[in-house]
Amino acid sequence: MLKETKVITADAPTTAYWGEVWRHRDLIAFLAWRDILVRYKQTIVGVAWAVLRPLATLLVYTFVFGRIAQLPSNGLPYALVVFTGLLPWQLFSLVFGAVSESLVTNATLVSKVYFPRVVIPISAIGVCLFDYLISCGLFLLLVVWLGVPLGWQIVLIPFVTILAVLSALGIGLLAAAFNAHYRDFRHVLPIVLQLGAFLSPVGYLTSVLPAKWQFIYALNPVVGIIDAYRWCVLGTSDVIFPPSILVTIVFTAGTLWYGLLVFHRMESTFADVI
Amino acid sequence: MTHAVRVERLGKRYAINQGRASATLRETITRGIHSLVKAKTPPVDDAASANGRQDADHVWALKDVSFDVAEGERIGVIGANGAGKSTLLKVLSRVTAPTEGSVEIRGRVASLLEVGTGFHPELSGRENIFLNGTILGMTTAEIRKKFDAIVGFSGVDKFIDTPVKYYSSGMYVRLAFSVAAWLEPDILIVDEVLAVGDMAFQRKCLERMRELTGEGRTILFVSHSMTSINQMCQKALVLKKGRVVAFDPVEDAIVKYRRSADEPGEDLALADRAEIDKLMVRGGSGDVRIRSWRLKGTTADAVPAIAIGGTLECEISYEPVHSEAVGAVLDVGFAIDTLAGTRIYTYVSGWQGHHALVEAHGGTTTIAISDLMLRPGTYLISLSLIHAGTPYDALTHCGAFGVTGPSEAGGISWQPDFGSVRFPISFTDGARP
Repeated sequence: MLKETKVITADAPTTAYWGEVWRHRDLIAFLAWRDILVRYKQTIVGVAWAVLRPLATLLVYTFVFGRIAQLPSNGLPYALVVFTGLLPWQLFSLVFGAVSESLVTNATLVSKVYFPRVVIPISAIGVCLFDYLISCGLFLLLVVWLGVPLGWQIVLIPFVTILAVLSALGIGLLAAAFNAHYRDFRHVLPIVLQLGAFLSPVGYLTSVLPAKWQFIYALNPVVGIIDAYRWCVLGTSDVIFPPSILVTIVFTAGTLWYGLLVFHRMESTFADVI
Repeated sequence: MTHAVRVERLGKRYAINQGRASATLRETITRGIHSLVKAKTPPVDDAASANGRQDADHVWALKDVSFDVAEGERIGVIGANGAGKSTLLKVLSRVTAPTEGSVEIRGRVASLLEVGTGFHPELSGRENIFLNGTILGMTTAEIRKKFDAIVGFSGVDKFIDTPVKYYSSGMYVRLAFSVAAWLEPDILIVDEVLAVGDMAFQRKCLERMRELTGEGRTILFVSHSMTSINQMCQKALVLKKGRVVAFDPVEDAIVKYRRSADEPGEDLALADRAEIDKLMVRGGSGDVRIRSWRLKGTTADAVPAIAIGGTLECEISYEPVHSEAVGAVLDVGFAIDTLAGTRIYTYVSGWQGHHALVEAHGGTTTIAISDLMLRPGTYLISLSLIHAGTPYDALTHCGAFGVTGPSEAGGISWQPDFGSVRFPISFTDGARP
């Protein structure tokens, strides 16, 4: 049998890297499965947590933006407005957070076993998707209970979901590489996410903003995701500002490409600094 | 023979100042501001000091390491703490990239730098087998096929569905090692993992590793246990401060390692052995010092070889360091250890009423052991000078000698852990009464 010959040098291995990632797809699945198992095995609270967290946020946002601030909802129940913003935002922020923390939380793996390092951030997405699906289940219950009709656009939801995941993965990879080298970066992250929740149309509709601000607002890549998401679920209840989804797509492609590039270039030194 | 691993001029440099490599963002920003402020003052001697710092900031964990491993060889890697053993294994297993040089590896590699990498306490034994197996590079189908063998080997069958956080530490490492034991790579890289479990389990592990090489697998094995290295490996690589000191058949390599272990000098040619003042494994009060010693039959590049039943002669010369020690009565102590460091013989001259009197310019004592009934192999000697129960001088493993003769053959082959003493023995047969 002919044995494969590998040469290890100082340069980052570039050839056949993606083939190697593909060969480690079992590992990606197992690491994701581990995260889900660990989260939901430990206690009943584990599962309850996935239900409680979005529900609590939903109540708070609906109360603050709908009741107190009395923002317009285009005739829809305000909880629905919040939920359609919350679902993509939750997915985006969970993936971003999990991916950027993934190297540090798996430090023992990184320093003891070889596999393409990008396996770790990719597998971190698994548990986020799981949480997201639970939230989706909750949302469906709410939709049925309120008797909201869903349009044909709902079939486009998977694409918006993938877009949200990929955009979060792109900047998450950059953050992960950064996080491995600068440990206190993790303290910055929650602040960024907190701010992001208000700078993105999570608790309000984009149409609330004056028209002249729409263009600048659309530069936030999450705006495109949330707007598209609302459109898929609620139909034409809000403005669809074409540049915003375009910004999102360009942003996603760009960060994903750059994130993978940087991550790959830095991965051979992760074991030394982590 | 084809090589399985070829290492060429391998080097790995680390930044000593971890504050730079894994700094916090806060520190980096502060440093950045500082250097901005500093930049305004003319950098007079900055260049010079920067050059000096360049070297102080880095350390070569490995430097100019070259060696070849043939297919199916079991190689031990030995060296003191910080000699670069673990770094070498990390580079070979691709956990970290080398700074220079190259490694060529033929075949599938599995590395075991730690027992139970990726084990999660909340998961059951069964789940951890699958997780750990995947991390180590097995496919799911492969794990499923070997599952029973793994569980059987570990002996934790009854608790296989219990979360491993409830395992005793012994059960935990047994399960973890079992997963690795059923990996079937072409090249297995192992770091210190045999230091786990009880004696019986350790023996099982060694057996399993021997079995693996029997199937033509190559093993690289780091251990501090000379017994394990001696039992496991055919050759050993001795590292010291990141450089290769020796790459020889295992017994020779262990001798060189023992000699070099704590010697500050770089080189360890056998001719250097007389420079015993460099030895750091030296105890005693220092009132009287051994100045030189010589085993009869020693040449510049070989340890003396003595036939079984032959005579070992060692001449030591000593002198007092303080004048107060003149006139003291000395006992000369002599001891023999196996390469694994097990003491097999100690004798103090006073036991047969022999004492040496310390003269002002010192003296010599010759020790002769006749009827050296040891089995063939290499042994280490230690010397001491004792006065009134306290040592003046003590040299540990300062020399070595070999014993030659017919080795045990026929039936069961001799193993290093069978013991080294060879008493005259006879067997007489008779009929049952």
